[in-house]
Amino acid sequence: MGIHDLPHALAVHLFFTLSSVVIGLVLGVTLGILLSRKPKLSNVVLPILSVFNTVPGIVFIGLLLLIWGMEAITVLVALGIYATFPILKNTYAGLISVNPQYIEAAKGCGMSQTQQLFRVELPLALPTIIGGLRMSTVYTVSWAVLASMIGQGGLGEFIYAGISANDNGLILLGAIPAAVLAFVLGSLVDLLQTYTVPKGLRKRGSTK
Amino acid sequence: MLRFEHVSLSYGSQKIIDDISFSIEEGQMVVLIGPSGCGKTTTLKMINRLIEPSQGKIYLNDEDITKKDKVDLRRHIGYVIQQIGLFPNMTVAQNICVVPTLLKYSKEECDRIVHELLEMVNLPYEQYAHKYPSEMSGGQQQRIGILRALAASPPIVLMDEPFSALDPMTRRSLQQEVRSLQQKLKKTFVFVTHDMEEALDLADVIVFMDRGKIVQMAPPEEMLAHPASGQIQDFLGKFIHSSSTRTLTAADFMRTGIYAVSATKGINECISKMQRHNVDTLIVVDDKAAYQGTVSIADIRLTGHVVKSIEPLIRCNTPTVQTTDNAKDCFEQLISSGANYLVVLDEEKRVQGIITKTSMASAMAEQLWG
Repeated sequence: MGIHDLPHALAVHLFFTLSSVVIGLVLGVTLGILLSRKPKLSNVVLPILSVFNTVPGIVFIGLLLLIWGMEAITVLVALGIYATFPILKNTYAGLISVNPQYIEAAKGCGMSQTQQLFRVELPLALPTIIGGLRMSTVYTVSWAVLASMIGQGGLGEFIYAGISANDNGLILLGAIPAAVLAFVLGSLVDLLQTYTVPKGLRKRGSTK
Repeated sequence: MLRFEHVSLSYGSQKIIDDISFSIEEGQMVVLIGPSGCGKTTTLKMINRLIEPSQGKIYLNDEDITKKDKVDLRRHIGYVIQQIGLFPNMTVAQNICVVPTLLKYSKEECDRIVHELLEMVNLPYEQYAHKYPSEMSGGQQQRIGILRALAASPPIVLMDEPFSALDPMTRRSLQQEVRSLQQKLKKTFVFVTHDMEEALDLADVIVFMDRGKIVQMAPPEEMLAHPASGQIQDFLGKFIHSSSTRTLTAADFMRTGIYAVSATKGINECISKMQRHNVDTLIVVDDKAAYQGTVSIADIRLTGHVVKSIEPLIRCNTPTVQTTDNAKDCFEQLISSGANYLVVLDEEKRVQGIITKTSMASAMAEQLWG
């Protein structure tokens, strides 16, 4: 195991990260929207989700391993679910904190529920949702290290190999690219924030 | 145009709206007013079905509004809220065109509407159309809020305390704008306020509500003249004794305690009186105190050396009015005649006082500010 394995490991790591974040984004935004429509249900569901969120990733991958074995799907499902949490929470928080005056104005103008959601609520919640996406992306880069635990490769290979061989160089060969990857992806999301948030909101950067 | 028939709303055992019935004619500016919690806003929101009554029917142009699709109904009713509620993610132009866009107007049509409406409130298109609400003052924002309500030319516009969050100056100018817009566009407006001055200024008809019932529905003049309850009287407060209830006369505007001289007085005595009172004319009366005319210092200077008494110098060119004459007529006479004052006489031609521009202004100020 050496530096020539790095590009492949990095590609695998990136693949796991991005796929999981996409899964998380779709699931998180969808569930966040659904929960924001049902405040009563959310009062039950959100605390339960928070509890699950505290289960260490390593335990969860272990559990899924029992079901699916040492497959890529195990990693994708586990990371995807973890990536969902921050996005879901922020989508929900962003949507319910939209100032009621805008909801009333939207209703009064004759917007349907869907129009109200897509033309007013989601644009106003967007800065918060993207904040969740950023958190999710950065976390997932570090959780993807766990993939190598069940033989699915990624930067974690170097770290585990380094630990067992007591080779600090090898550990850093995995850890430094992982840190750089987290930084780069986080910055990309920040860039996305700048370009997608409606102009009228940028100055204040909040949904208030 | 709009008709409420035995409309009630209750939450549990609490009656918010208690069997109200009324109707509004097309093109009227109707103001709902009353103490907080009287149900005025609730009544308003029932019209665009933001709140549904538990009993009774509401008809808009003789159609039961519950028979219509909620969303479609609202697209044909303008709605302005207190908190303004312009969408911060949209430009002024986009905000104005929210309803036209929902109704699938063409882009050109939307653009034409924005031009036309901004022009109507004197906000230049180039300067404002592409601004965001956060870049505008509260007053400008609410102007756009009103334009948003008007954009798809709805026959009826609802306004829920639209100016209560604005400063008094801005409020005044927006009230005037709404009034002129309403007269220009001939739309039906239903306006909720807790400010009686606003109601008296704007309304064709005032609906006074209390505890979910209509206490009185009448034009402002009638409400001022015959308030239906003590509570309305309290609400009307200082306005109730204002000029619209009683016709002011010359007697209200005149200055009393005027010094008059007899026609037989000598020249020198008159000159010293004028000097003492710092005036350049004196009012002349006969021995029964009836008005004869005036004498001026200029005439005395000119001819004083040939006459002993002021009698030959008396002029009758100062306009006179009766104490019972309408104050407005007196005002017009004072302005148009160019005279410095009007002499106010009673039925026996006795001098009661004079009306000067100063006395007029102070009497008006008293009427206005009490």
